[in-house]
Amino acid sequence: MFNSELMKKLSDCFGPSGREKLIREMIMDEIKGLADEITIDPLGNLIARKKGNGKKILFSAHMDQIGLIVTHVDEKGFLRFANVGGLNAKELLGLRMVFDNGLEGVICQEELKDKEKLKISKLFLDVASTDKEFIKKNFRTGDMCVFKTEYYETDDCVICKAADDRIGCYILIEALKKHPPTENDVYYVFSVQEEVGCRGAKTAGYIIDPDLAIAIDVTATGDTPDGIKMDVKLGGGAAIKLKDNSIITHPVVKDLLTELAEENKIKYQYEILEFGGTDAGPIHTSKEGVPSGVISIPTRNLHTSGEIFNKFDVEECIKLVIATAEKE
Amino acid sequence: MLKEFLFEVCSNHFVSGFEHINGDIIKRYFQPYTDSFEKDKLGSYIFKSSGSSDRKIMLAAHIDEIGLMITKILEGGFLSFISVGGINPASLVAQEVTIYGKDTIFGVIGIKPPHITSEEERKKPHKMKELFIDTGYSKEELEKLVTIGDIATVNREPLSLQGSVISAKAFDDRACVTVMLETAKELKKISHKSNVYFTATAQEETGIRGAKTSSYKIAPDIGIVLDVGFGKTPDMPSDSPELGKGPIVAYGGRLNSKLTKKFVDVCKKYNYPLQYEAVPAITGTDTEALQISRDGIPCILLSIPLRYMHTSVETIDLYDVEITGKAIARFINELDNSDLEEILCF
Repeated sequence: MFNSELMKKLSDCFGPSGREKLIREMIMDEIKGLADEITIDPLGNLIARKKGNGKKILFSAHMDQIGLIVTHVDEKGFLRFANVGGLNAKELLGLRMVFDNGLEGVICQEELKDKEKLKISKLFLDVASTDKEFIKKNFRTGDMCVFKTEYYETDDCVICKAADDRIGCYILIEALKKHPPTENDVYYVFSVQEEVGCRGAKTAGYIIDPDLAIAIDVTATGDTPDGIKMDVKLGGGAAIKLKDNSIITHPVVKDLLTELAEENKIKYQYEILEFGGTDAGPIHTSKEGVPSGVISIPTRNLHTSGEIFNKFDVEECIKLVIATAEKE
Repeated sequence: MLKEFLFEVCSNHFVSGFEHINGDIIKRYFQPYTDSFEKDKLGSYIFKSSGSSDRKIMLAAHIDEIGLMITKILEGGFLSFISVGGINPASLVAQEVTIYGKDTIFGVIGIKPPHITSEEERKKPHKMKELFIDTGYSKEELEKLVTIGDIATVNREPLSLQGSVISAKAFDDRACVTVMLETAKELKKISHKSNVYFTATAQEETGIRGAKTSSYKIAPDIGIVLDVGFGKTPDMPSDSPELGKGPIVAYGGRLNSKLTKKFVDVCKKYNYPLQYEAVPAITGTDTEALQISRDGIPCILLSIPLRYMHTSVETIDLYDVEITGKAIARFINELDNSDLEEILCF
């Protein structure tokens, strides 16, 4: 059964890269009592450990979401901004944004002749106030905001913001709830700053120094009209990543995940992403190297305010995480 | 012996991420000249030649090569692919390839006949996405033999040109793995003090990854990075390094200038020919990882001049390989009798 309430809470919680306090607190609250040990590392990664004497396994899903950072508040009260994580100017235009204090704004553009040349530097945020005092009091350089969109679901799919990678967090929370009896020493990492260069995973990988690492993150799909050529589709099950720009999945890990999926009758699909990277990138080159892989959730409209994923795929991902956690 | 090794190792594939498959070849050649062997967890091969002191010198040359990865099985039994590492799609047209699936399968990469290629189409460079491998199998047969993620390489038998000039795929960077073999051979003859780690690193072509993990594991005092450089051809700048004139010594921010000077001095003393290049910032080699491993490793970078990089007809002069290997052995021997701290202090 898909836990819509949890996913909605995760998606709605504020937490752009570097500002993960609220989402970290929310997840900590959610996993209270489930782990043997919960720590926060110096960069802010939330690490929940289920102790064991066996193999050290690290699962990582990032808590941070893409957003905007205010670079300048002008005299009239309009806010200029830069992107935090990969965002495209054309997709931003007209969107409603929300700050951690609940204040909102809408993204507008300068009057441009050539709309094709739209850049983020030509956009500004209108926070709907002509009161200079109000603006001065509430907005300053360095403030961050995120998409303001409503969570929506059908019987089989969900539309929400920050599915990247709150759905990964959802999977780890659900897996932790069903953590199997095992001798393995398992670390559920909710990492920070993935969207700006997988920075949290770098330090978490170094501290934990695992024998096996699996990132849980979203991936693109090839199932939309005139979309990218890719074999992954919604409803096709858990995607086992074979390559992206940050990793070539260790052959042993590829075989392990494939065998676990087949043994446990988990529907899976192989994924090759021709761009992007995940937490597995920095983790697999940490210290002397860590055999690593990625379990991906097929997701449409990545890095937009309406990312779409399939609930069945999510269930299959949870099963695969649990199977991996208990594999000797 | 060097040529025999180089030809054998280049006749087999070590595509980035799949370096474990043909590792026995490297072991067979390196083990007679070294004392112990281990791997890092990414699959870099580390052969240690033990010395009498605590000093550790790491040599790094990457064993991996660029290749192709299958992304889709198409109707009619064709295969779509992406590159593993940087490949100019033009260099793939009209090539034979081998796909390493459940079975080893041959294929070819063709293009549309010129008769039906419009003027406009001809002007456009080929894109990887528009190329495909033709295996002759039906889709149904192919699905039993190939899965997404399987790798493929261009077929190319190593070739001897005139004199000591040779041509093959993957001389980048196995020419330099061969340099290490020559150094190992030379060091075997003398009793050296330093512990020397001959490291055939994994996954350089996809992001300098094996150098990162192997240098962390070894934690050496200094690093000697070996890679290939752009050799002169008629369409290159006139001052490009030439084949047969010795290794190219790099000067730049990533390299330790005093250690580099020491190497140059040793080569001058023993009459080894050298060429030089300025690399102000990014070298695009294993140096990137070594230099900032742990609390930093002073490095030098030597390159073997090579023509037609990242194609299946990479061309080098074996003479450069041999003398570079010998020069490094001399360098290590001289370092053994020097105060390394004095050389490395700023």
